[in-house]
Amino acid sequence: MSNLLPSDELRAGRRAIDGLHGIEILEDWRRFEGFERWGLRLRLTIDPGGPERVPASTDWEFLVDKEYPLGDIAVAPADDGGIEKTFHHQRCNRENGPGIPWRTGHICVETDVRGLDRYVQNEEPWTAPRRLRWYVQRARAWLEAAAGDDLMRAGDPFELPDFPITPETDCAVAFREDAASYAYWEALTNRSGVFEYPDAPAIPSTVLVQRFLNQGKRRLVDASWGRRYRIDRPVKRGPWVRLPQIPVLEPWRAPITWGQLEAACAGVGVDFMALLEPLSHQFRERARNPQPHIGLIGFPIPMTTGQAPVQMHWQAFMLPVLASGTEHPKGFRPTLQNQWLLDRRTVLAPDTPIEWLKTANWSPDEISARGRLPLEVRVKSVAVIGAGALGSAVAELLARAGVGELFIVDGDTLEMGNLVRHSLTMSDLGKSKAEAVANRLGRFSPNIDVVYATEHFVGGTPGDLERLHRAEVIVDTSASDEVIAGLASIEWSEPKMVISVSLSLAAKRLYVFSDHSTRFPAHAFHQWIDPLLVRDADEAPEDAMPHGHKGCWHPVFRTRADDVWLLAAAAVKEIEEIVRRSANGSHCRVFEQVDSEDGFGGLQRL
Amino acid sequence: MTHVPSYFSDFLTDIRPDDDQVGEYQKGHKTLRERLHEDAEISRILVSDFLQGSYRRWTAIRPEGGQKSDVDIVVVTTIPDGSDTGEVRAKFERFLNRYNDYRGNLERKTHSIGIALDKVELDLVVTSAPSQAVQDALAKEARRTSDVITKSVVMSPLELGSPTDLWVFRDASTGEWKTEPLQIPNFDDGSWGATDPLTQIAWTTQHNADCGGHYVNVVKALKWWRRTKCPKPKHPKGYPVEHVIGDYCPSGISSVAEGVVKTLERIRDCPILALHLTLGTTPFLRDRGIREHNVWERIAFADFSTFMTQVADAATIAREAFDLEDPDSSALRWHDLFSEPFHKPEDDGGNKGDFTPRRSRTDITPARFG
Repeated sequence: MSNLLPSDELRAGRRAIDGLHGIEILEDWRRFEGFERWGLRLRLTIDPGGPERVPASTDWEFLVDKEYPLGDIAVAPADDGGIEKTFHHQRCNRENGPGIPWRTGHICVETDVRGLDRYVQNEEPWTAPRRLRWYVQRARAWLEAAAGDDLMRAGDPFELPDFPITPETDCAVAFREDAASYAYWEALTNRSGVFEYPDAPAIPSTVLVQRFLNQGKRRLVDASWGRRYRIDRPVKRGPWVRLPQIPVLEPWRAPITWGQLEAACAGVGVDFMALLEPLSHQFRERARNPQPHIGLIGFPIPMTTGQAPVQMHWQAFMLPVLASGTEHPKGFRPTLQNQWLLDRRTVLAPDTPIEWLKTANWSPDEISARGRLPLEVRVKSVAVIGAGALGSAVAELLARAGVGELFIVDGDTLEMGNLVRHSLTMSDLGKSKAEAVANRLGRFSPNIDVVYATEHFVGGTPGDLERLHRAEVIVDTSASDEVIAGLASIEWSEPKMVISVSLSLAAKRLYVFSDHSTRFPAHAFHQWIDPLLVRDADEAPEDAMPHGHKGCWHPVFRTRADDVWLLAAAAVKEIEEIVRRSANGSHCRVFEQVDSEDGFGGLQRL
Repeated sequence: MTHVPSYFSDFLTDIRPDDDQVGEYQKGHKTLRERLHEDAEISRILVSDFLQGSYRRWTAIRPEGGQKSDVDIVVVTTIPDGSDTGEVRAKFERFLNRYNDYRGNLERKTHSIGIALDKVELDLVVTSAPSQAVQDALAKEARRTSDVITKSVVMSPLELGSPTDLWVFRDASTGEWKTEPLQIPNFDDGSWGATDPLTQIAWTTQHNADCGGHYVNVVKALKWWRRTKCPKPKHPKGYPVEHVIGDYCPSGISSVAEGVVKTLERIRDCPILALHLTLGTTPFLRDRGIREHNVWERIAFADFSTFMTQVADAATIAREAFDLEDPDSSALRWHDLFSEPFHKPEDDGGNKGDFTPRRSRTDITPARFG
């Protein structure tokens, strides 16, 4: 059958590596059922140079997708003759299951590993002759870098070692650490204690670490999640142990068993088991079906290799169910100490593998660093008046870009007709727009704080008005003259940034009017915008139907979500600029969709 | 002719004594009356008591900041006129000193005993009823009077029209209703003189009716003008100012604005007053009740002269304001005459449609969306 023979592409790939220096083909393409891969076994030979970090020749299995040259390619040490250590840019390198002729230590040779730039061109090619050859050359380069201890250089982004996760475990743990919390940790002398996490996770399958306590249950450090994710009870508890350095076995291997962990900790001057023992007694449960507890090991890490550490990192593990009740080693009395001895012979025995859990740092710097507004903008508390098509889009963009405190105000409920342009869904029909939008924004990040008011701004409660006073930036997307009048009737105690954002008929234009003073100038606003609105109406097509009522989307003008979101995005960029500049007085700006005969002509700033 | 009645209505609401002040002197009066009636010695000589003064006539404006409103309470007694004024005063002082809130707060004045209460000042005016007929009538009317007093404070000026509401008595011989002066002691020189508060009240009521209810408001407005725009000299003020306004405010006016401008112009243009100016003398303004009494007796010529100049200036402004066609401009000019709390036309922050250029089409309403 054709799928038992390697494809033409695979063979072309193999031919292309013939004759490469230091490469020997040991076994031709074999198909591995169950993995949907073809494997090519190669011997790579390098000149190791210095100390014996890496043998001169090592064997490798190149595992290639059957869709080659498309699909992925993995490079794994052979079970026999392959390297046994774990280096940087490598998965944790252990023996694999029976019948699998390669180890788990896949090496990372993809494009963004800077250390390999010197050796091979960085761009991954995608043709049959070139792609495999590229991988083989990169693998050899990796070996040379590993031999010369050059895989991780000072200045490279710091990379954690691979703590092997059991695939069956679906529980993940998220903590919140940054430079600020690191300052707390540096000031504390506690080496171990107890931490709290919610009994029922707010996010499915991810547990958010809530706070760290000392052994006597006194609070040390709180993770300041947004209010929806801050849980005081019900909570469960687990042990935490803090190390002065990351516990690795040379060159870059995470400990796999309790014995290895003990050794790695001893290497940084910490007696791990001595710290764990007194804590462990809190977690001996005499229940019929005792649940394991989560534990944390913490260590400081830098941002870039070679630098001083800047934040704490935690690695979570599953603390096995410990001896309790009448369990004790035969011939010994049931004291806590003896129960610990039993644990050390069984669940915490040196050869017992540690069940590591997927752990991640969800502080704002970690999860939203890639796409957020500048600090001076996202640190402001923002009130958004109006949660309609424009308001919901603007609020969402601000929230995703890192604005941490939002207040959404709208008195309407969501109807089916709104959904053509709104960010909400059918499951929100009939609900207050403000409440539904706020709930949605609250699910973007555990670091966000969103509150809402279900009354229109002008009729709001004193509590709502007070919240408005506390907001530093107010964005009005209501397109309501009543709101303008209402805003103008308030004397703010300090200059307030008020930005009015609205769209023209058919969302052709975006009108942005901002003011930074103690009183919003309604008069100046109308003086600017009223003639512009008249112009819009005069420009409207001749066959338009007569009046819809003000502020509501007119049925005749087919304004689509892409129109709204295009202008909402421009509005957010303009808001960013306005807040950054923070100039006094009022400013206005108009953006316009450009007319063009051959499709969308772009967005122009007038 | 622009009357701006709403502006004047709001202005008058803000310059008249407020409900708290009215409540205070009503309370003061009520308490004093109860005490007068309870006192063994006084109740024997008591005929009646009532309020007099600008409050009673509806021509009072609220007291200046920090000051107390000042209310006269007339006590009509059977003490014969000609009695020793010192003894009369002593008798009442003895009575007043029995009460904690009065003791130590008394002030001796020419025609009255001042009682400084917390929030108001009561001026106790002891009078003597001249004739038995009057005494009988007064005694009979005493109960009615108290109704009247209560009612008159609450009623609007226009309602004070009917003679039966006033304190009058029917002359047994002629059957005519008339008022009669009361005798009032002068504690300084020991003499007794006539006073006729009721006639003043009656006159005011009648003139107010003739002016469509606007007269008392013209008085208040012009008193306010005096206070804010003519702080110097001190005189004329109070009743003398009210009196000259009364003399010159024409009947048949249809608004306060009209009353103000015409009153000021008539004072300015009056040939008799002009004559007095050239002669260097103060005019004789005849008291409504006591014909031989000159209300302006104590006004110095210099003060009279300044007063006339002030009236002339005010008349010019008032005429300008009244003649302006546009209500907003008119109100603004009236504001120049009276100052706060006369409102200025609001600066309209909203869109009045002034900015909207001519529309080329009418089928689409200009609007913005969110």
